[in-house]
Amino acid sequence: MKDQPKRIKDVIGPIGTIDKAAILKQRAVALATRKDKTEKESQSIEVLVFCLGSERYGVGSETVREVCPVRQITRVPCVPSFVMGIINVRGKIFSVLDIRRLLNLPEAKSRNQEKVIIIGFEEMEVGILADDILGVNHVKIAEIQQDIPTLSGINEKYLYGIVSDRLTILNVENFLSDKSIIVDESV
Amino acid sequence: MDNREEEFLKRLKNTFRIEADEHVQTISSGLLNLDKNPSPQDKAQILETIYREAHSLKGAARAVGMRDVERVCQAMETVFSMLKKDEIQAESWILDVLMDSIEGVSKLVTSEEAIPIVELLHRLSQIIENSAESHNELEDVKKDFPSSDVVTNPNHPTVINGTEVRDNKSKTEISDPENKTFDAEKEVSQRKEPEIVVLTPQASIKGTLASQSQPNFTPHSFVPAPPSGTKRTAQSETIRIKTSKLDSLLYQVEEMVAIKMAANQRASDLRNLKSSLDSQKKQWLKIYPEIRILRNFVETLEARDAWGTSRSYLLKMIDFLEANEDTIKGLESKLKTINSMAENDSRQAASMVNDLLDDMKSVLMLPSSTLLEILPRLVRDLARDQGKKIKLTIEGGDTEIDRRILEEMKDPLIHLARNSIDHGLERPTDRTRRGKTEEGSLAISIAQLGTKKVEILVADDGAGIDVEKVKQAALRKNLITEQELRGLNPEDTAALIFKSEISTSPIITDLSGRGLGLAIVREKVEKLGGTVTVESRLGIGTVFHIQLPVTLATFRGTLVQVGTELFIVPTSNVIRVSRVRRDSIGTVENRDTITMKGRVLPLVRLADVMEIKSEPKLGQASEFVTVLILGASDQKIAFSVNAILNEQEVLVKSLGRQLSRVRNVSAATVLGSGQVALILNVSDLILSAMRIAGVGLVAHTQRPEDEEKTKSILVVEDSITSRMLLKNILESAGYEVQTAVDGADAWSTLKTANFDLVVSDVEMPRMDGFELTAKIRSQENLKSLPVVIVTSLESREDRERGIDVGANAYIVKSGFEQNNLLSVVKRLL
Repeated sequence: MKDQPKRIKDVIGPIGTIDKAAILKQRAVALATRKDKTEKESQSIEVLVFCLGSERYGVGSETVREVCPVRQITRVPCVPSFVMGIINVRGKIFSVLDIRRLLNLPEAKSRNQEKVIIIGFEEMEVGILADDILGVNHVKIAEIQQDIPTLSGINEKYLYGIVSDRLTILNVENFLSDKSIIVDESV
Repeated sequence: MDNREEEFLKRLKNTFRIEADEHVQTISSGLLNLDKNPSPQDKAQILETIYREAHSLKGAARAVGMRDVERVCQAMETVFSMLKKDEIQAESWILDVLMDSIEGVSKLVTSEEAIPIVELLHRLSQIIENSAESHNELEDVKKDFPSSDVVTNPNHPTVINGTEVRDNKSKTEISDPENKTFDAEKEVSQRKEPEIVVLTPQASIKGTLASQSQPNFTPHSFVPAPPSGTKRTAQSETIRIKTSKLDSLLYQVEEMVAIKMAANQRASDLRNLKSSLDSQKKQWLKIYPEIRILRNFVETLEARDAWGTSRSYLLKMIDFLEANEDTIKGLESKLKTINSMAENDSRQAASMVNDLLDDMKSVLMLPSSTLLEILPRLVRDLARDQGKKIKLTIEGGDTEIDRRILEEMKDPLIHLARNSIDHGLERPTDRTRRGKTEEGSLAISIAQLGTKKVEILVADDGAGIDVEKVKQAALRKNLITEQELRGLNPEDTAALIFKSEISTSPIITDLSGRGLGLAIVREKVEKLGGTVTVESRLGIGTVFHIQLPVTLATFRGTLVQVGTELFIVPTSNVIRVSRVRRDSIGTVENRDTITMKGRVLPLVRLADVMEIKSEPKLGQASEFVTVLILGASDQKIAFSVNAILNEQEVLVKSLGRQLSRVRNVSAATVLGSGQVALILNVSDLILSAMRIAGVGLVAHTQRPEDEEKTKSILVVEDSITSRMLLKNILESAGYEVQTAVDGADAWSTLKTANFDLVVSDVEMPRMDGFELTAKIRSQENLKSLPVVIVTSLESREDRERGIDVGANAYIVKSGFEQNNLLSVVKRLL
């Protein structure tokens, strides 16, 4: 009890009142700057990570409506090959897309394909096929590499970028608002 | 905080939109009524109403910060107030400005679209400024207002009793040629007047004409815009619910159909289980005497005997068998109870879900006035554009119909109204010449027929359908042979107009004449489970009768198996299912056909049409082929499938936005087993089948020899940009194109080469498009050369001039679309 005031006095005693204020201000500035910096550094997005074949993909978790186990996908004839079929989720029908085909990548040697992730942006909601859900990660935006020369030829606009540990992050907003994924054909 | 405020503002704006819509609607219909020269008393009421509505709208707009809406409303309010005070009169140009203003407001409110505010405000202020000058002429104008005229308020149409009488009336108008139409009209008018009076208090229920009951109400005492709730105090029996909420409720109730079907499935599963136990029981009873004998025999065995050592084991086994049978008996009786409970539950669920669904559907019924209220403005605009005088009567707006049906009927109804105005009703001069009133009559009425059906009548007292022209058009399009025509009665002949591509119009315009409209009307009506027929007398008028169900019927589907997959075919499209002997399948031009009731039908494999790989061997093994004969819009084709499983109620589910429209598939459903099955689109299937089966099927509708030669087209256009554009469009569609820079150039080109069609601009140096067309028509060898006029002039006079000089089609550039041009060209060639 006796020590405490003494210690404080020891520290600020010789400096004087005006300097005290200056130091406090300095500290405040430092604190504020550091906070700002950490915020920027740690500005991150939350992604749901899943695997399909041997690859890992991530979708922004704010676009994920739900994840559901699926036993059977009903095939739909007369549609492009990236449409795997349709499923019934509690009475609502969703089309299920294979993102590898959407990205023009060779078909993955998938193991089980037992999960469908329902993603949505504005009015558009679709399911995407996944072998397994690996969890939710926070990815720092600064660490997402957005120009990847090796990715030329595939539908780049559907990609947000790649993180160093080979996690491909999809740009759900872009691809769900792309008119070309909408099937609208008459005979 | 920001977010929450934004959210709040958003919600506020949504609420405002709903409120504003109502004000806008009331003001528009008020303005339309003013345009019909109402009696001074009615006029005062209308003005009072729209004045107050504008005021309320202004207040509401201010509250949500929509300054533009507020400013326009302010100006409109001033004009209304001047109209009220008789400082100005409701002249047509003033009404036009007001009409445009309210339309502008509506656009601002619904889409926040940019509109020429300054111009609108300027026009409105012109009215206000002009008033001082025109004040003196007031007395003269007043005299011109006839006082006996009827006001038809589209929002608050007459009662049902009146409608039924009116229906008969419209029929007699048509079927009784001696009865001059305008006499009948008068009679109706006289009868209608008192109804209007009766209706006034009823109208106030809607909350939009609240002030009518208080004629002395002064607008100045009316300071704040009252919250919409207070106006509705008299109407405690109804509440306002967002349609989206009702839709989601209906969706959930419909979802319960799946539970009903699942319950039914479970009950039948249990029934199957019980019957397999039953057969076990029978076997037991058969073997039981033998077990008794065995037991007796074993019991007599002595330990010394050769079998003696096995005695105890054998006895144990027999004991077990008997005990086992007891257990099974116990299970059986439990199963029996559960089974009957499940059956009960299923029945109960079925009846509850059915009742709930019926009630829900009736909740979703809306007065048909919501459908009819679009008509007055449409008719007014069309009549003005075409220089016709039309009196529109609308009845039966309180007849309730499923909202989804009303939505689907919007286009067909607009089309029929447009059709009557475009082709039916004549211009005033023609009418007078034929001894009719100058003003044509267009009557649209909706009436209940029993509890399950409604009838919509669209009747005009125009020129009627020229049966001869219809016949010729049908012959020209090879839709019918002369022999067949001779066998038709006039009614059936008139019904030909519902066929695609039949048009009696002398000219194709952007509005009509393509002959597709009525085919679409019929398709829509039939899709809703209704029928449409037409009655017409040349020179007297035309009545279209549309009968529709009040609510959307439950969809029934036939479950078929193709390969290993299950599909639902709408039962309404299934004409017949049948098994035909494989050796009875014939071939015509290398295509499979079957004969059904003396008619040869093409036979295709559904798997091929659906682009499904399936092993044909499976089906070929059997002696019979399962065949489904499907029909849509007069076409019939037989499809072979692996199996037809059953016919059942189906809950239609959309495939979602990503699969907006899939070839051959219209929707999906969930079967009782939980499996998802696709619902097939039969019109698509038939088209796909024709494509697969080749031209052979459609040969009778085309002239193959014409297909061979490339058609050549002359494009006449002075602007180089337009010229190149037209050339490109036509060339990419496979036509051979030559160009000319004006009419004179074209005329000399036409003399040197042969063309199949001319596409021409109107305004050109030296010789314009009309002159060129007239010249072409006057030349013997070019007389039948089709001419399409493409122009930026969108006026009635020009279109009529186009008809006069003999153009085949008249396309306005402003609405100019590549497909539009190509389809017109294709149609004319």
